[in-house]
Amino acid sequence: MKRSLPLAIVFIGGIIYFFAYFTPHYFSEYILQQKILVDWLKILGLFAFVIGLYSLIHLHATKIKRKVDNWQYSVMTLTGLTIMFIFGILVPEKFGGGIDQGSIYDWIFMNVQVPLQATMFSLLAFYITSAAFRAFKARSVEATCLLIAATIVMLGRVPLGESIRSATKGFLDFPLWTQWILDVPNMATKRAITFGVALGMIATSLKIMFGIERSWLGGSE
Amino acid sequence: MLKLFFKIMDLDRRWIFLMVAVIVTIPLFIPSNPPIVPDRPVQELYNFIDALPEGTPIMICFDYSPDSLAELNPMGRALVRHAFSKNLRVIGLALAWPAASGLGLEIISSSAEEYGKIEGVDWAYFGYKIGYSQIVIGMGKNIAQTVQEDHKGLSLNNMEMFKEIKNYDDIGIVIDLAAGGSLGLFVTYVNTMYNRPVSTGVTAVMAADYYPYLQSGQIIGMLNGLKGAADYEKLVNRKGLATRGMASQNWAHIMIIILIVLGNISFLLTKKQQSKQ
Repeated sequence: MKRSLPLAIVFIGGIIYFFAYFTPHYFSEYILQQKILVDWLKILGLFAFVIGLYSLIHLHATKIKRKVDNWQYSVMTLTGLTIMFIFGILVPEKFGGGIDQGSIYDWIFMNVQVPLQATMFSLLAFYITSAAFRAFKARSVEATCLLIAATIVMLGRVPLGESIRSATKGFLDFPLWTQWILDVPNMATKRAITFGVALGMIATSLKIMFGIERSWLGGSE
Repeated sequence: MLKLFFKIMDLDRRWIFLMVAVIVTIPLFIPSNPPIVPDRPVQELYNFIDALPEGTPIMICFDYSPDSLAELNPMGRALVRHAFSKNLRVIGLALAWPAASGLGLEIISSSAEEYGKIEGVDWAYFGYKIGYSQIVIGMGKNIAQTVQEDHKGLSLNNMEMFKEIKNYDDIGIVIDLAAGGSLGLFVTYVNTMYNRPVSTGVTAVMAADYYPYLQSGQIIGMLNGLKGAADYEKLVNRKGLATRGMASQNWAHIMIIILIVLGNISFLLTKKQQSKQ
């Protein structure tokens, strides 16, 4: 029962969705477009949220309790969580509570979370530059092709490419070459990859629906 | 000479980090007018929106978190400004990332203020909605029934705007500003299932993935990274953060190219030396 019930739900749900999407019958549209499915997803999302919240608090509380390496970051995480919870839910709107524009919650989001997340992502520029310097070498024919294509695209995507085009009266047209690289070899390769991924997804989905692939059920039994 | 190259190769990466910081930061504070010629996919999206009749609603889905706002926020702002300048109506929502909810609202509400547009009449914002694919599918039948409430918790049924807008059939184009794989959903359902126009603005690292959709006509135009945002700013004739950022990107790319060239020269010299030995 522990295994057959989830398998049956997945099989029935999978079959319904499969036929609902590929048949234009009004019954298919009725199933796909029902508000009840949106409500189900909201309920499922809520359960996932509760589990996620518990997991986050449990993980960081344990780290603080055991004083593991960098436990101070866990204190920051839980402090942030508590502050946002207090201002978002507990504090009344007349005292700046709530989540609307102009609230304290919104101010913290815009002035703390947004710059911090943007900063984290921008670190990528530093690592990419360093990695390009150390690892981007013409070791083989394929690597050389990649190197040349990357250089053309890098020049074609910035104003310098336009300046070179103007200065050489269109002889060195990096923007045009960049567009060609993206439109032709890149597009063909991506389409092939997409087909491959799609076929793999269909195969995996069928294996899950028919109970051949059962690792998602967890456990070894 | 050889020694100098080997020395360059042994350069501490912290020096490279410092160079990147300087090269990216300084151009942001120096006023410049970089030559920007819009790419074809950007021009296609601009032309499509520009040709929509007055009053047509466009839907923008803000599917990114603050990580990617440097590229996607300017796109959203330029698109919303273009729409309001043409007296189009704007509907915004966030489906993939809860954190996008505040970003999208800030873009639409501040642009609406610039153009004197009224919430509930000229624009609406749903905020973050749980349900993802089911929301995208459900809106094809009935937006108000699927989404129910806007970001303030007001019922869409009571909004003037949604007396005329029932589903995607009443929307000019659906644009997904994405930092993840959400565009696939819009292509699968909004374009393929409901046969409505879809477009996108994506981060530069992701853009290459979506050229097949562009070529097949499943998406109308595409804004590709910061350059795409700067192109759109140029087309709407409102220079913003993307145009300023292009100067930084320009110098950063030049620096990367120089470093790659230096790295390869030293690699070839080392190889030559090794083969001699």
